Amino acid sequence: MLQRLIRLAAERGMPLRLVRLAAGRGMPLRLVRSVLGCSGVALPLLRKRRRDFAAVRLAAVCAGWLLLAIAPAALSEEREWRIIETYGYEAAEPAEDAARGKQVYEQWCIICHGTGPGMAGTSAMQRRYQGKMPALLTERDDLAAEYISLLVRQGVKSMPFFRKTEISDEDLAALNLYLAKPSAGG
Amino acid sequence: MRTPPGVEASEFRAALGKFARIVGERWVFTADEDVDLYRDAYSPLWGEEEDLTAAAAVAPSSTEQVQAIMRVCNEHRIPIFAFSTGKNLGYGGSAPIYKGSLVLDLKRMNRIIEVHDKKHYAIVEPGVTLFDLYRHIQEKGYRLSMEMMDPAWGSIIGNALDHGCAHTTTYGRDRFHDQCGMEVVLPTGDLLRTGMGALPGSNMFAEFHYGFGPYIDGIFSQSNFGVVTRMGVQLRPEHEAYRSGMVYVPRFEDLQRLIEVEAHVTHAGIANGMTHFGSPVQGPPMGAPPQAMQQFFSNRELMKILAVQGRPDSAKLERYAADNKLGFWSADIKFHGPEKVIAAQWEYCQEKFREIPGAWCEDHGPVVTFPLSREQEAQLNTFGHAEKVHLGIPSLNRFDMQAMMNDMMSTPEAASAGHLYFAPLIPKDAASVLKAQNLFHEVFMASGRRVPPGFFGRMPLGWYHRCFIYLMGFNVTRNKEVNRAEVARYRSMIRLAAEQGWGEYRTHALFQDDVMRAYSFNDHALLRLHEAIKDALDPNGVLAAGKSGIWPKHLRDARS
Repeated sequence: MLQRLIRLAAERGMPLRLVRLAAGRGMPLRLVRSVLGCSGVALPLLRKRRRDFAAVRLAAVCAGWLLLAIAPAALSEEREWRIIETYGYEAAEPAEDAARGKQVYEQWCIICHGTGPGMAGTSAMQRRYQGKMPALLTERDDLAAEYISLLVRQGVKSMPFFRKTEISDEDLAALNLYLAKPSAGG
Repeated sequence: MRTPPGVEASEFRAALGKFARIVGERWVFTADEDVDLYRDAYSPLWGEEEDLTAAAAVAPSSTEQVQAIMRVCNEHRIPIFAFSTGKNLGYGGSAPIYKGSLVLDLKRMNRIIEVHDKKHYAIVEPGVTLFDLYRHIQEKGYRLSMEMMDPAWGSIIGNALDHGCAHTTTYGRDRFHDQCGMEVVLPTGDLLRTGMGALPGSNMFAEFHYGFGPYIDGIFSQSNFGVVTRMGVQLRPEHEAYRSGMVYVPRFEDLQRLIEVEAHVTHAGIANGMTHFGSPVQGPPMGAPPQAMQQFFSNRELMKILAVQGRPDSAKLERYAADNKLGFWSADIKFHGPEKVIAAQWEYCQEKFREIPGAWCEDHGPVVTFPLSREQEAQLNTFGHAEKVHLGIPSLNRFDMQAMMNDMMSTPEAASAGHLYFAPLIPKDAASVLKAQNLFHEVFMASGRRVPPGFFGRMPLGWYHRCFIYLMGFNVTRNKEVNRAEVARYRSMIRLAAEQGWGEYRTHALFQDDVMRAYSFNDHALLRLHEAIKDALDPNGVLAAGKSGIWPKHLRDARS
């Protein structure tokens, strides 16, 4: 039944995420099938609150029953975009911890400051310190939070500065918790 | 609070209040420390009064919010400049072209709407980068190949709209070529979908470019006619394998035949990767380790021939090449596809190139197969092996090379803080290559500079495979005097190139008027058409004034 619904969802351009989510939480599949028929009604609600399952379920249930009354009209509505894939990185709601800091580092820093050839940041550190300091930021024990913040917001040489839509203040605080060492001076 | 030019402070304050209600207060930036993050990090005007700064920034998360923002801009006549991720470094980054504009930061619109691994396309928003889409494809285990530029931290949409180029396949390096279907917020706030997106109920948005009627998507590239909020991007099935081969020719005069044969096998689709031309006797190839460069400059015998101002003696270089089994010119030919198929393609290419007397061919690095093993992946971006960018894997390898060159250009008084590129299109033939080398050498000499040995071995790039782009780098520092001299030299090169019929395909914000002026046929008929479209679509002239030299009516007269 679930597989059939997934196929139906794909055929109709409906959100697979909803199918999986609903099935995973024990929603009757018959109801899910109903929901699929009227995603034109449900999707705007879902998109606004897509991380809130209670809202998803409420919207889905309402939409499903609504289908029984207005199915022909709902099915003739314009096809909605198939939001079957979403990219997960979003600015942190204040979760200023080192675990978030690691995520920020892996999203924004590691592409230049990681290991291996072709890493502009790591290469620049090697050129600058000639082995006297570790070239990898994660191996440094002298990085102070103020210094990291300065580089992120002001840039250095070819490294540009980063806007708050890229690295928010909360994310920067989390990054500092991950990279900076309390013993390091300002 | 800064205020955009021509806008009363009270009007702007009222507009900012409306923006805050649309996107949330958190995503409206007015404090100097926040707004300064929208400067061009590589600005050649850094510290100058004319530096292209913004008045404020607003960052929506949805198409509906972009529409609402555009309506407010029209209501209050606020000039607004839109960008995708702001990583167009060397071309202006996130800074507005019309100084003092509000900036529309689309980075938060970072959803990958759809990836279809059987029909090979993706639909993305402007904040999605090449790294984002690649990671997503890998996480899902899709067997798809991406066309790739470097640095890959930029927007897929922004790069395509600015006519950016990848380093991968012949059919996909032109990034705008692979776009299919757009959702566009017009300057008035109205919403448009192009191609099949215009047909309610169609799910072929990213599969058929044209829909019905005039093909309109092109007017939203390098323009200020709308804000693209979604775009279809055609992908390809995983290539299965990649290989590259070197072709060498022995004589100076062989360059024309080398280019002709390369054009034949490329235009026929037999060589289907990006060819890099070089001159082994005049310098190591791009990507060579620093040691190779040191060996080159410390080669006394070769330096006797090359360390002259002007084109070195080709007869002497030919003798040196013959004695040392080097090619005078070379072409690095690349192939993407199933292993057996690309082996046959390379074999055919070798036959064609060997028709040039004295030419010889060699495999260049090992054949790479997908999915990559850990061992294969570890070898990438090392000399003698493929670069990630050629395989469709995101990287900042080229950015690393550039950063290293920037450091080399630094002096105690003027540390490099970035770069600009002069990027004229020149015809794909030997005469034009040699002419460009001579001409640009003269520009260097006229500005009192000396060119390093190997200058006449620098070859143009074939991103657009039917012509060449002759890239010339310019240093950007925080030293005003150095920057002013570079800007003046850049402008003189635009004029000089235009006299030859060579125009830039893309340029920094600072030079967009200059470049557009060069495309002047029939009293600037092309620009006049752009302006007519601008006036029709943007009657209040609010969106991205000055992009590609297109100014709204109320600013046009003052500028001319």
